[in-house]
Amino acid sequence: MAKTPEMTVTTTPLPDGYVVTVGGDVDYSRSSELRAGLLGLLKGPVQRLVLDLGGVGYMDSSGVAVLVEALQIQRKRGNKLVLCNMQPKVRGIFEIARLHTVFTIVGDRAAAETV
Amino acid sequence: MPHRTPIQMRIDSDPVHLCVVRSAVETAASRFGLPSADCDKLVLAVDEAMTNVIRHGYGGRTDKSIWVTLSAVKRDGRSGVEVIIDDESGITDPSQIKPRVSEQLRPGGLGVSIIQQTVDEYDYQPRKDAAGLRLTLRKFAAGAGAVANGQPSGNEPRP
Repeated sequence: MAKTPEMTVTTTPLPDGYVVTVGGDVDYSRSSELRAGLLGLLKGPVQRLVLDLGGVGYMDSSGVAVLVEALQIQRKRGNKLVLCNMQPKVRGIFEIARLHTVFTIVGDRAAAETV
Repeated sequence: MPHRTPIQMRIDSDPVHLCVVRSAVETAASRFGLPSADCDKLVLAVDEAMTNVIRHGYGGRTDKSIWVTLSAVKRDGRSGVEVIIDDESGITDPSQIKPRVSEQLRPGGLGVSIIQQTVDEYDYQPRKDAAGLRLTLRKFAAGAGAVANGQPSGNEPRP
């Protein structure tokens, strides 16, 4: 049986914000860790927050909830949150939750840094 | 009726074990004949259901038990999987389990709604042998929308 990947989070600065690259499974056992990381970044204003989800093989509603919370913060401040590199399985939960039209979702990081 | 010996697991209600159950459901569902996309949906439904048990049924306690039973089923010639999730939450009224109805953008509350949209049948019943709930999920190959408690839901508007 394949080993389930642990979640990894790395942050890279942008001229106008950050790229947060997430890897592994984002489920209820890990989503609070992601939340803490994102809320820490968002303590101050972040004009552009890009979440690169290319390495995320699975996300449940607790992970989606973390992203919704971050999106609400960004919207309230008039700032951007962009999701990129989503795997089909992860995009699927956003479609089920009818959130795929709420978030800005682009294909790759280059698009996410300029949209 | 199930036609193979069920697979039964008992896990502690620790979220770190969710990935174990996901892997088991994915592997079993595939072996039982469910296509990949349907396996993914069933895995998500089971994961959401178990998370609900841990968070809401057990209040986050990690020292309780959750029992998961996987069976191959057939209906109208279609292969399918039945997953039974038993808890000892003390909750005995299935009407307490409700999907979120608000369209408002806010974190949380999506679990039951996701279950509704990813499986063909779901049914909450009080357990006969303990104080808790039994959730039965069924997913069939090329399935239609979810049916709650055995009642057709084809006319319900999608949330």
